[in-house]
Amino acid sequence: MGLTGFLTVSAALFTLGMVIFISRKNAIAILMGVELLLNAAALNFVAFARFTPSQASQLDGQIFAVFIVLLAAAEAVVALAIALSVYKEFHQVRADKLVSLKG
Amino acid sequence: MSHIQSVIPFVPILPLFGALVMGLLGKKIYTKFGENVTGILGCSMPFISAVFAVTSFIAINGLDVTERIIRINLMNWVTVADLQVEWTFRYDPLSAIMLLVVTIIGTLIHIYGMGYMHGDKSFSRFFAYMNLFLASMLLLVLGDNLIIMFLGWEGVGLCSYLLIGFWFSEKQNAVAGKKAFIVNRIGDLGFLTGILIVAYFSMTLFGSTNLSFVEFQGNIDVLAEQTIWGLPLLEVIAVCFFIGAMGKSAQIPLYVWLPDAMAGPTPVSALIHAATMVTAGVYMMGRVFFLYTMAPHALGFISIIAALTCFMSATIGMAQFDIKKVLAYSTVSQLGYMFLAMSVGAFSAGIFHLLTHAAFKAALFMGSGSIIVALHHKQDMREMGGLLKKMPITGYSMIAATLAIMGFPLTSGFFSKDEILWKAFIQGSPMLWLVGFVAAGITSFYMWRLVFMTFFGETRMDEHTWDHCKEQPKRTVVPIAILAIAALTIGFWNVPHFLGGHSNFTHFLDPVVHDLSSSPMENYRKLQLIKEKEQQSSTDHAAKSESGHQDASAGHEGAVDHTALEWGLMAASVAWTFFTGFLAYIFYMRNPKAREQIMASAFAQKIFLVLNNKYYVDEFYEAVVLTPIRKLFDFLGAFDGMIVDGLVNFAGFMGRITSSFVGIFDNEIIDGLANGAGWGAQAGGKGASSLQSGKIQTIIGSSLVIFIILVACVVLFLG
Amino acid sequence: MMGIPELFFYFFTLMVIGIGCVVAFSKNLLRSAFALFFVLFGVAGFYVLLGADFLAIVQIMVYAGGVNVLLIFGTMLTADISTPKTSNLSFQGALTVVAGVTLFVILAVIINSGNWPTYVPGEMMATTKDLGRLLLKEYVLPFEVVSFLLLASIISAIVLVQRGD
Repeated sequence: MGLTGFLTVSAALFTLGMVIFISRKNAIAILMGVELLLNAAALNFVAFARFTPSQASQLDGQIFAVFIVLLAAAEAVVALAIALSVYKEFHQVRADKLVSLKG
Repeated sequence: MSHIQSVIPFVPILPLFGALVMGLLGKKIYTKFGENVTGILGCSMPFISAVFAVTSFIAINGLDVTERIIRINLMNWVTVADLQVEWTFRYDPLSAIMLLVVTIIGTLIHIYGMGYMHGDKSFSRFFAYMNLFLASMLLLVLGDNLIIMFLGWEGVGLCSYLLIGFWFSEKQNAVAGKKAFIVNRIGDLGFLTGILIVAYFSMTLFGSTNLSFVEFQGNIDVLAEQTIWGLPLLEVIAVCFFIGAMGKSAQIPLYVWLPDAMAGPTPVSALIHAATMVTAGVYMMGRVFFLYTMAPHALGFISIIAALTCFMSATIGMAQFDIKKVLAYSTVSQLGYMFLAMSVGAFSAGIFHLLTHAAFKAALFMGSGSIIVALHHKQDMREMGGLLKKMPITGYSMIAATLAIMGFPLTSGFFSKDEILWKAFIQGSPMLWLVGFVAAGITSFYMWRLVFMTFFGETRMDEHTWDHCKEQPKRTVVPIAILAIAALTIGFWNVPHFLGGHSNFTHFLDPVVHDLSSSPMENYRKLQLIKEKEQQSSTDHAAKSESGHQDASAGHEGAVDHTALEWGLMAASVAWTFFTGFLAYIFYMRNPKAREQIMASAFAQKIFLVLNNKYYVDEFYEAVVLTPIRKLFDFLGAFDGMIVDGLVNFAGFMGRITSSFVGIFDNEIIDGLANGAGWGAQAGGKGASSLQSGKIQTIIGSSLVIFIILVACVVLFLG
Repeated sequence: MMGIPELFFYFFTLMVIGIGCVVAFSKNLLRSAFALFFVLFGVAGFYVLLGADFLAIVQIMVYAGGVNVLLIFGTMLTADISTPKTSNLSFQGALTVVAGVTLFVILAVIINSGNWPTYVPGEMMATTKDLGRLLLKEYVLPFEVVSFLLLASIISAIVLVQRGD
């Protein structure tokens, strides 16, 4: 417990998210990694809100976390819409195969 | 004096100019103006020189005896440290005589050459060379110092080579020219050694030298006391100079070039090998007579060589069939006479014989040339005969010259040869006289043999040649006649005392060339005694005169009167020569069969063979001298081929090795570096470009890695 | 003896990290998607431990129940039939793990060596009312923008999917 504990967990989550993001080939898996990243950040916010609150209000961090959740939802919607479109076109969503834009 | 001084410098320069003109423009003149104009142009310069020679001679006769040495300084030539040679001409009685001989006979032979070389395609080149020869000879004769004399000496050697090998397209002519030049060169080495010794001693003893004869003569007493290599200096110089004369004047052992020189055109043989070049050695001895007076041992050596030459070549001449070869060996023999005279101290007698010999030998050569041309270049006497009817002028001229050479009374040859024989007897030794005496007889024999075989008796020619031969045109024949007349009459210049004359010639030469009146050895001893007496009495004996009065007993002959002996010897030689001439008459005219009988015996055949083959001297030289030298050449050539070429090839090999190394180095390493750089750039580029993939994953991943690295750096370096 | 909160903290930590590894390294995409559920639940538990009760519920409702469901839908709808089952343990994968571990170590070091302010947190209170008030007072602008954003995303999703026709 304590601030450092939560921050450590958040760091671990962040690391996991990075690993997933970098190493997985499926687009949906990459999205999952992104979710983990976001969660790690939100956890950070909330932990700081609890242990070092700002002058204005104690719950700034939590507000931020709420917004992060909302944004994550919006982003997931759009990303999945894209993934479906891509799937329709290419019949696959593997990131390492979808490279025709590469220069 | 001023006439001489103004005229003499032109005498050698005009023929030189003529040579230049004929050499550079001669072909053009020949093709444009024809043969006659070219010939006249070629003869013009010698003619003018001859005119000058005659006028100078007349002028010098008008001078007082003491003023007859005229030195004409033109300019400085060599000015190096102690050696200051000037370009000076010396005109004195000796030069005057030589000038007359060279220019007059030269001009006559040039005119003769116009006729002889008729139709030859190298007409202009002939006159160029002849003019050049005259220029060189005149330089030799007029030079006031040893260097100019040597310059002329070399020049005549060169011209002799050029003229002997005139028709060089035939190999044997070129070979003969080469032989003449090389044998001459061997002699020149001796001459040059002598000059260098004189120069060296003059420079060390007197501080500086100009090598002029005046200086040489004036310092002769000082030089007489020096030694070189353990020998008396003057003896060594005298022998060295004589070696030069051996080469130039064809004495044993360097005479072998002269008979081969007959390969050249006959005018060349007449001018060079009878009258002028070969006499250069005799002239030289006359010029430096003061040197030879103080070198009695050298003179003794010379007398032996001269006598031997005289006799030997006369015997060879007896057995030759080529008309020019007979005359060539005769020349060698007569030169022996001249040197014989010089070697017993009778310098003026030698010069006088030079003069008479020039006249009659040139006449003989020109006559033979006329015959050769008439017979379309046939030279073998066995194919001649009865030519007197067909070619009278040539024939009678040659007979006149033969009378002179045999010493028929009152001809020029008579006076000059008898003078020599007398001096040889009285100042040399009876042995010397005997050799000369016998040789005189042999001379008479072979000359009459020549005449009888050529001009008399039944002709042995074939029909065609007989019909076509006729007397040559005037320009060819008239010079012969002129010289023949001269041969008969010149003798009266030097009639000796016992016959009632005044020896004008000897007196004429006296201020410049002083005869000895006792044998050289005796004279030398007397001089030593006088010197010792002077030193003992320690009085300032100013008995040195410029003309080098080294004759111990001044004035005419001593108390003893030799007139009877002279008459006796003269009568003996006349009788002997008449006898041998008569023998020739019998053997070749009256009773040829007797000759054939004698010749048929084996002994006679053997002797004949030896004589005909010139005592196999050439073969001897070939085996002993030339073959080892050729082997040395082969060895050197092989050496050059193996070692020098080997070195060159080795250098080339090393070059190839080095370059292949460099090539490998270049290929592997340099190219490797270049290729490596390219490969590195490619790989780096590939690697770097992989960063630029469109994959977001890669981008994020690499930025993560970089972040880690950055953190690591910060931690490590910034603590 | 650890307190109850510490126990829960460790429990939730284990859950998050353990199941997070399942999400990362599972070959089966569906399994990863379902595992993500539990990860999200774990994070919600953390929120509770931190006194953010409203946020925890929002997390479960929106994130786990909305986003994750969407992901599962996406997984099923874009199933790779053709691709063979390749191993995830590639060189690249190993390197990534190494990098990740390094990153974690770095972060952990940083976190633990930092001078965090020592503030003893007070009692946990209900946050719903306060959050509501904040949203509509101080943070009304972001609130409105986010709602606009949500609208935009819905419309764009529809447009994107329709493009396929």
